[in-house]
Amino acid sequence: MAQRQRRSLSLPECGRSLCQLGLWAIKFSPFVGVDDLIYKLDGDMDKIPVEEAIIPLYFGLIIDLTGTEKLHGETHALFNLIRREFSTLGLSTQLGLAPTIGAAWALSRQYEEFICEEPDRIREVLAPLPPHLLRIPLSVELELLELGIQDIAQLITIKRALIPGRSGPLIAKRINTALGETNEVLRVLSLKPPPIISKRFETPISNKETLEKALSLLLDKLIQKCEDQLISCRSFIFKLIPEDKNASPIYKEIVLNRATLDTKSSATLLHVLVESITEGKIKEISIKGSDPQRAQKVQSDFLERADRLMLESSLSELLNTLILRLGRDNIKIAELNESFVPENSYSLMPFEWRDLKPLDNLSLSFDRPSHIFDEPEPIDAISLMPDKPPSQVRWRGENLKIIHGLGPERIAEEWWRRRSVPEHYRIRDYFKLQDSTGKWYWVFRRNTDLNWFLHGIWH
Amino acid sequence: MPIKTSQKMRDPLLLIKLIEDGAIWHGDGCTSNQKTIELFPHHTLDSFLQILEHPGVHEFLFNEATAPASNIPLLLPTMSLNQIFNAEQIPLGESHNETQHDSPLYLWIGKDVWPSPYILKNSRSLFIDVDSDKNKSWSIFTALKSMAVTGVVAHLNKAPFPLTRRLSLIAKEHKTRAFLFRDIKNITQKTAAHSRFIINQIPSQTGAPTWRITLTQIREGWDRSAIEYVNEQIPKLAEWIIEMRQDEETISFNLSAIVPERDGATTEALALAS
Repeated sequence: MAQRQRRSLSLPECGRSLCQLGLWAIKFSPFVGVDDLIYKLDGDMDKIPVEEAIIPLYFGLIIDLTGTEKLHGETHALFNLIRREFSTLGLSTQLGLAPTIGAAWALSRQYEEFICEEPDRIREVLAPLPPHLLRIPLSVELELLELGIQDIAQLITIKRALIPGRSGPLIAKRINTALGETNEVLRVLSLKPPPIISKRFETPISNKETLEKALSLLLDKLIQKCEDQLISCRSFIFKLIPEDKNASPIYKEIVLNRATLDTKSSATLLHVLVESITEGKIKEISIKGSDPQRAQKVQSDFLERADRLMLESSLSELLNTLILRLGRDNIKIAELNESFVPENSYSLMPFEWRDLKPLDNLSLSFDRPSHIFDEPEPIDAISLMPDKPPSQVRWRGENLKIIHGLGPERIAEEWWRRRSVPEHYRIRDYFKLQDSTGKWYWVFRRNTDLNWFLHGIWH
Repeated sequence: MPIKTSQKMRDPLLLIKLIEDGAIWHGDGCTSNQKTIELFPHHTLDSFLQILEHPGVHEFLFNEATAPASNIPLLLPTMSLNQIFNAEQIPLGESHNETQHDSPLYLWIGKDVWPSPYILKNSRSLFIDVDSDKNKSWSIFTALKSMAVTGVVAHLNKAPFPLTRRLSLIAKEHKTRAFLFRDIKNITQKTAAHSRFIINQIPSQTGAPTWRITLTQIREGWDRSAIEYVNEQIPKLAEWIIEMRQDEETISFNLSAIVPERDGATTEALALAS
């Protein structure tokens, strides 16, 4: 008698198994996908860290049933069919049907079975559900709970721009997509394997020019392969295996903001890629196209759109060049947060394509210095009266001759984010001081022990 | 009047000196002995901004002795860029998504020139963390070659003439701009920069940050500031006193004064710039 063996799977293995299940589910509709987070579990590359606590919720299939009504008949009949088919695999199901991915996602996680076919009812059916069913991290939901927001009904009544915290834009995006106010793209699972090309060399390559030429030839072949399949790829993952058995494979990635890569751009990028490789001899190269899309030919003559495409292409080339040489973590983008606590008012994060957008000046209503120190610097200061600006300041061993002062402006903790400010900085009285050379300083007195600190400069 | 002192500063002699110097002060008044700036309102702020708009290399010189390390005077140039390139970028009623490819893109290369992001208005910014001078120069060159870039901001300790010449040629070819901050002690006399300014923050009467901007060069050629700076006689082509104004929604600049020029040099310089 055969015995079944149980073994625990790693997260990437789970993700791949779910994709396999999705391919099996193509029998219900040609458009089946999984959540974007599952794609990120692919073990090839160092991907964004994932909160394991939320993973189980994200293991589900998204099936676009548009246009399949005649094939399956009534929705209830289809649901019965799906249940039967999945039960043959030994799997139970929770099913939700809605006009948007976001709404169907939430309903399927909350109920055994829920059908909402009218777009007008989305708001009503989502209202009683908890906010994390909008696909937002649990940590963000905890922040919302501290604000007293317990369900989606409360969340969608808040003006989108006023949703606080670093995750504000994400929450707004999730609400908009769930309600159908903005479109959401479903990345469809494909039976076709991702385009891949590899080459093993009899004599390992040590010369950089030869390596560049080899990469160029392989990439050209891969692009040709994509064109034959009428697809173009948003990213190319390079895997270079060194001759030294103890050395681990080198992974490099070129990500494009548009699924096109012309020969000139690829030559520039490959040159930078090769320059960034320090290992000695390479015995094997493989290149995998990722995130394929249907190829689109664009007329690039006198139309205004051509200029824009050229700008995008130039930007894409620049960013990939910088990322390949300096690393993604060294290319930062800023995000402004709705917070009056100086250190929480902005954050700098590693570059992501979707985040390169103009900054909204949420904090302009506050008078803040052009340079804020990462850590406030201790100073010696004399103040004639408790609520008056200091008239003498000693900073970095030098006495500053203060000629002008403004304040105080009290900055206290944001009570709804108690953990966001270190305890000893919770209540601060800030003053703006000008010295005799014309420089303006931003100093504060800590309320717990009345010690003074310099936090920033206008210069 | 009770005087509150911190733990580490209880020297009575120091207090007496402070009072004599007029440094101890209370209330919202100002005890400055600075001279009042005279107004010569015959040029507008636009004349300063027009120069920066020109593709090429623009150098901002500052004196490291008066500015502690890492305190590069960023605010005025940054706000100037906002004022030049963002003026009509986002029409009313259009979201950022519709205009994000058109909004200016700046690269701030090296942590020492990263401003607090909330002074960057409606622009796209990339903050490049580079440690070595080699990577810094490479990043500047790479960025200047991209037509998607509006401007590159960096602090260069040493920038000999061949380097500024190469940067200048690339910037002009691709219609981009490099805004380089340099310590006045390290500059070379000959530079290929399109313009060169000396920035000094000065005391203001109004409580707003104020700068004296001295234009010492326009177009390529010999910079006279390096020759005569030793004698503290900086020949200037033009000079502006610029004051930052901030209200609830906007930050802008006001021109407080233009210091009279030598023999019509400003007019000549501005004609060249345009």
